[in-house]
Amino acid sequence: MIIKVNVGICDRCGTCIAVCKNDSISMQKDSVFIDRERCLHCGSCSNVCPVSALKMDE
Amino acid sequence: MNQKTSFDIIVIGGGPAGIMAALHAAKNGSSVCLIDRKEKIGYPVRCGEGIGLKGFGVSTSIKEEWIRCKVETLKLHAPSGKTVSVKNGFNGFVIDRVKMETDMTNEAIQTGVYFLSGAEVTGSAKNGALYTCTTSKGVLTAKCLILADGIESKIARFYDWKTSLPLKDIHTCATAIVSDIDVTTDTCELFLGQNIVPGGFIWIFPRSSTSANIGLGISGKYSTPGKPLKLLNEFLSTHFPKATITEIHAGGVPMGRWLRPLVKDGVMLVGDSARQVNCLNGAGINYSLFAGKTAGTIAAQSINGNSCNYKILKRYEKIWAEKFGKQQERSYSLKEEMIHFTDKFMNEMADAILLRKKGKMSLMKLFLKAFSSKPVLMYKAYKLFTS
Repeated sequence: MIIKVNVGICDRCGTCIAVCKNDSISMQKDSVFIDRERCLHCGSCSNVCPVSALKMDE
Repeated sequence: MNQKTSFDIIVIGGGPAGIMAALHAAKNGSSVCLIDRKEKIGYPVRCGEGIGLKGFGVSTSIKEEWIRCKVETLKLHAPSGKTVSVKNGFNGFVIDRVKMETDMTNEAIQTGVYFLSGAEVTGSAKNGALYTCTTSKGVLTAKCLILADGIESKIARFYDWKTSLPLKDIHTCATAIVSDIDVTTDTCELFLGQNIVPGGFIWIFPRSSTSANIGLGISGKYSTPGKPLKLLNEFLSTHFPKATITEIHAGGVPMGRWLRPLVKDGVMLVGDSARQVNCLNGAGINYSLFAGKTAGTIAAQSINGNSCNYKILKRYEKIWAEKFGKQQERSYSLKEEMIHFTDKFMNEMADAILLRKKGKMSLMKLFLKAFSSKPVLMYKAYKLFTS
């Protein structure tokens, strides 16, 4: 299971970065980027994303 | 052209807290670099743009051209649809944040601040007596850092602050700039209800008689992917079906206690990154301006005195704690309780208030009534509104 970023939808608000427990998300030019090596797959970032730019992919 | 890379103070983040910090550090004689990731100051606005008059005046004076509307009345919509209007429930302004931040940044630049826009800070570390910031536009060093990087509070993690917010301590938000509607310019409206906006509220802040900033924040605890935007769209299509939506933005608001410590050797936290937000209403501009001004001034004084260690910088934490820190913590305690308010309870409260026709209903009385079965919270509500 991985989290996928929909670049076209991401508003770069950083809400996901604020809740990430393992500092796995960083801001890039067009959207956030998730470091898959660090991601704990908790789903918090996806749940708080106001615009549904982060989706859990089974 | 070679840009300057070494400063007394680097401020990361160009929101209200960061700009104020940079301005006051420069006013007190330091060489300052203000770094912001955005190219355009203040944009996009992820905020309701409402400010309380009293708290704002503590740190700076308001300019006429920043004011969109003067607001006096707070109109609360209970889940049942019944409304309670509180005259003087919100004494303040709806402001033009882009204009305010642009003016303040220009003042900072004129005072000598080096403004580096469009630069992302990707790393930061202490090297000997200096602090290094690696950015997308080069490496910079300073004797002291002021971190104002907003809700993300990511730079603080390089200095071992634990800034990750639990879901219950964040509001996830969506805001829209809406025109072609009828609004009352002296009234700000809030809608409550666990169905339409779980653990939070919807706001309508007037921008003019025909436009408004309409948005909502819900508790992260109750959020699912995309829920804030979905709820906002539902609200707009129900209440303003003919409105023109010119902009929609997402955002997060920290709803936790302010971070302790606020300072470490050579590093200070201000604004959203320090979780300096009123947890009852999500307001952070006034706290940010005060924290920025205080931190910037003390950082510059410590540079003048040749030491930026924890002992010296912590004066900022002490001043903040006394001025707004206790108030912020009370707002947190009340928020923790209010998140559990049921629609039934809120409807009963509205009915009880509407029954007492005579006498003015102040916001404080409303809160005292809400917490009438809990004396400790009643006391906190009383202190919050009287301090």
